Amino acid sequence: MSGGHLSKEFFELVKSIGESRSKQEEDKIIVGEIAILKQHLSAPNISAKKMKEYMIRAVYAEMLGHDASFAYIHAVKLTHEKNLFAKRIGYLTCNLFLHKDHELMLLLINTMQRDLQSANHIEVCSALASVCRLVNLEMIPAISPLVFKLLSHPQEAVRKKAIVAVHKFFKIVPEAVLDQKDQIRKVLCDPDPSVMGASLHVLCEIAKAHPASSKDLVPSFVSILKQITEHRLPRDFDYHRMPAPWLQVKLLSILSILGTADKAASEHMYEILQECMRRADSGVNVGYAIIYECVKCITRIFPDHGLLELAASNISRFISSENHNLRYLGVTGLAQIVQVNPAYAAEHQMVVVDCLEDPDETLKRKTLDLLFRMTNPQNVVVVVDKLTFHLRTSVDSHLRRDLVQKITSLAERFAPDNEWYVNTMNTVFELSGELVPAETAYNLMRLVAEGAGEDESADTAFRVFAVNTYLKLLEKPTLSDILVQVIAWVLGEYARLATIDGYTIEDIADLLSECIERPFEDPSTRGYLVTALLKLIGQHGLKSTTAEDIIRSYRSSRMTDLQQRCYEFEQLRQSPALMRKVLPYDASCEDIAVNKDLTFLESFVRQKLDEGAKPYQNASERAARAQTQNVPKAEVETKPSLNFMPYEAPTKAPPVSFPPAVETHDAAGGEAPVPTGLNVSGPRKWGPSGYNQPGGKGEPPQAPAAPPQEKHVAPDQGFSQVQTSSQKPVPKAEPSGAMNEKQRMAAALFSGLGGAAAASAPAAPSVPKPAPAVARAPPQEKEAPPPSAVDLLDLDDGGSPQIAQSPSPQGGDMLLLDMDDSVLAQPTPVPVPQPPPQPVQPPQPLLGPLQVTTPQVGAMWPQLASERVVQIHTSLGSCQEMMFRMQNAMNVSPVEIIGMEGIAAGRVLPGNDPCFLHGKLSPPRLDIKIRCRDAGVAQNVADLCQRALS
Amino acid sequence: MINFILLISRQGKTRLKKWFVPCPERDQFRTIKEVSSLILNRSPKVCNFLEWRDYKLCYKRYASLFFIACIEQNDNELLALEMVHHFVECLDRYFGNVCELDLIFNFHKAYYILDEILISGELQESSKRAVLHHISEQDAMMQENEQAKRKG
Repeated sequence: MSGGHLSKEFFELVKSIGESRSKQEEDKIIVGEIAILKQHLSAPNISAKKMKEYMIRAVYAEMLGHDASFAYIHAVKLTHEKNLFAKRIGYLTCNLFLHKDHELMLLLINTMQRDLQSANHIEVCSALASVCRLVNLEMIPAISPLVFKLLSHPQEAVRKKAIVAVHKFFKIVPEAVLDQKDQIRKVLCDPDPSVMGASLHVLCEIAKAHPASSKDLVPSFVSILKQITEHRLPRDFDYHRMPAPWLQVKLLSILSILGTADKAASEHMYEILQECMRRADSGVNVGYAIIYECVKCITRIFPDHGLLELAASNISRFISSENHNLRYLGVTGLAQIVQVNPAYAAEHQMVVVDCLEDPDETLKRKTLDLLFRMTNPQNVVVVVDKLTFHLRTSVDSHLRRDLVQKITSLAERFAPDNEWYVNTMNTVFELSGELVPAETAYNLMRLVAEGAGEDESADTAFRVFAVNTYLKLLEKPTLSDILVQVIAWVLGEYARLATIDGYTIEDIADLLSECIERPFEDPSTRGYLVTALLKLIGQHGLKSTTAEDIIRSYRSSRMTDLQQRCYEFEQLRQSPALMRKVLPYDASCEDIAVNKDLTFLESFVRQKLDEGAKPYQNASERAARAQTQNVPKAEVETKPSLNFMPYEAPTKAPPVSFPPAVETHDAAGGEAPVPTGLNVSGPRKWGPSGYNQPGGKGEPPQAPAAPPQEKHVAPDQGFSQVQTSSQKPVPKAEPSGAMNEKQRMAAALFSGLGGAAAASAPAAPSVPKPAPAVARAPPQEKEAPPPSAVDLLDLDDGGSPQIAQSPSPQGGDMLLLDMDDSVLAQPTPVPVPQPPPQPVQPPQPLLGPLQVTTPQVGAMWPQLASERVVQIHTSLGSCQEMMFRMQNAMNVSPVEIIGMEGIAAGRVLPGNDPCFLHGKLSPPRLDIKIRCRDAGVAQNVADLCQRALS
Repeated sequence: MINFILLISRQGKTRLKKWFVPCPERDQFRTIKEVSSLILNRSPKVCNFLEWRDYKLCYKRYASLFFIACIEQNDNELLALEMVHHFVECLDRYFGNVCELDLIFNFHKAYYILDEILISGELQESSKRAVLHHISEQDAMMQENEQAKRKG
């Protein structure tokens, strides 16, 4: 086809654009064209054919980046035309020109309504296409009844577009669509497969939003998928001989949503998933796409061992393929499988290392993601090194933000020691301080302030290390804001611990005051520095004139916060004793008693009252104009409302309300022993639950079979860890020259992943995999962990370290068995082996504590299938009390208290399944909501609540 | 779902763009610039996927044209490529050995075909025959209209 059917004018335009050599030339042509179009459009009585061409020319101009808004109204007018041809052009151009909130939409609604009821199905289709693209909130009431009626239109093309429009409605107002759920479900049974296929999209969205109410459709989806894979659809739906691949993939993604954490629903799917994968394996790309989707589905639903094996074997084909796209899918798929069972990664270590060095940026990123997901306490140092390297070299801000988040999360979860953690975080702060959330810095400060809390001398040594490190860092000419804030806080608190020669407190104060003059992006950074100086001067009675000069000069700063601090300094300096009391040494973790009733003001109030002042009334009382003589006590809170009265003269602020911003955080933290949103205990908790800590990824902890093997190894043993009991030719930590650079890297990266045999594969590929029985046999030979390991392991049952040393037929022994890759050979991933029955055993607690944050609870909450609601008549008066009781009686960890509501989290013992409690207190009534995976457990927890909280 | 489809020539000229999510004209323009420079600079020996902001770009080169689809994090990349391929096959079938010029002179036809294949960012018709049937039906009807008008 050529341009023969175009008018000469348009043909010339297209040709000249095609021949233009620069953007400027192109712009000039289009500007001329727009002028011509405007002139044409202002003429009266334009024929439909001409109008069509003008519209298309206007689209052309917009496509090249010029404004053609003058043509919009004509496009809308075209849709009013009786002539079908003009109408279609009108709708097409409206779709291209307008958006849902455009003012011209008002003119389009009536036409749409009329056309939706037209007898001509092409008109209906055109209108529906526009509805899909342009519908907005206000239009839905006017349009949706018509669209729902079209779901039973005789023409299949109309039904199809109508269900897509319904999908669009669902995205805007879900409620409007959910009322018509039965009608939508009927579309799933439409005789025309393409209409059925179109309905999957909206059903998928509904399933995502309300998984519970869609569970009953699982058998239908499975049977549709079965029919498709068995080639029961007309040949028209084949694509490269694959039956309806898009429908298959959509069905698989719906199944993965509905099967998440639901064993019963997942069991329906196992057979079809296997069948689907088998049939898709025909060597065409689209088949691989289906297999990949199957893998995604398998890793999300309730795990089945056979299917996981199948998925892993397919993924290993992908990952070792020459085709770049398949390798990409392989790495991505492996990252998902690793979340269920990390052992599968070990097989592919060389490939992964190759991918890490691949010139392809995309592949590299995905590999980093994979590394992140398979990190454990043994390989954390190497993985973080890799991530940091990419953070150093990358310029893409999205990637950098992602990397910062990953490094921080790994460092907080798996840090082998506090020094490493501090150094890692310093590097992150240095490289991209602007991307680090403030919480991360607080966590670091808190760690310095509180220490590990076990050994006072170790904590002090750690503080000395931190102070020295930061002192050295301060000498650097440029530092990111967040790093300066951390430095200022640490030095302000602990400068006296510095042990570097030649640095006295005076020198440190001078360094800090020099630092104030640097340019900063965050205005509060200077506040940190001033407060640090304040603390140094207060605690040590320093007389540093430079510091005082600088503080004085910032009294006129435009930052009110900074000004405030400087003036406070001026005042405090008058009485050094008070200053020392206000800024005590190493007291950031102490509780600050806040006198909420302000009783110390009583005498002042009484004096004023005696002098004839009116008693204070709060806003609601004033508004109600009630009898007011009985409010002798002063109250500080007033309800927000307009205040027409002049403010009272400010009373002198009590000293306790004085803490500078830095300390406010600590004060808040110290006040409530309850961990708030931050998971600050991260760096000190690298227990075995670290790897599959569910909160980390927002994924349900489906595979509690994650590696407990780290129990018997010390994290600092590096890559020699890969060897466990069962094999002979293993790459040693000191390689005898045979191990090249890559293998070394692989071994380091994959240490602790449990695939012991696989780890040795690259070195000696001919060694057969030891049978699981062999692997099981010599657990007694397992090395007694070095003493350092015992300290580091924060095991839940305190007895385990001894068990590891002297294997006895108790729970610990079973754990050891579970450590090697015999996990693979077990038919189903048994969460935690039950210890053999013992003569006398204390009753197992139902729940154990679980450290999560509120957002994590929010993310996991809907995935837990069972819910129990209990109403308790309680004697509890406050949420704090309730939390305390929960903590003691039910062994759960508090997550957050919001007003009169509290959230607590626990894990179901034995195992790691989360169980969340949400309590709403309105004394004497207490409503508790319990969510967990298993209905029986939920009931037990509910009973426990009844007993504990009444 | 697919967020947008782009066709750009090897020289970086836009041949077709379609957004399935609301996006102001200026952002579209900026996106096109950013995406096309990203993709035109990729070596042919790497995979056809690319992470971009919070999305994934899947692209494929057919003769002198790059077909680019922007999909969301959870979507299937390979399937998106096949969707692009399906579109190309449909174009090919309709125009008969499609070339860049066909798309330049009949880009509205390309939009019609795309509209038959994708609705609101999801593939709705995987049968080539059905797509072509709908298109030819529309063509016929418009021709009738035209003829009727000429006579009348």
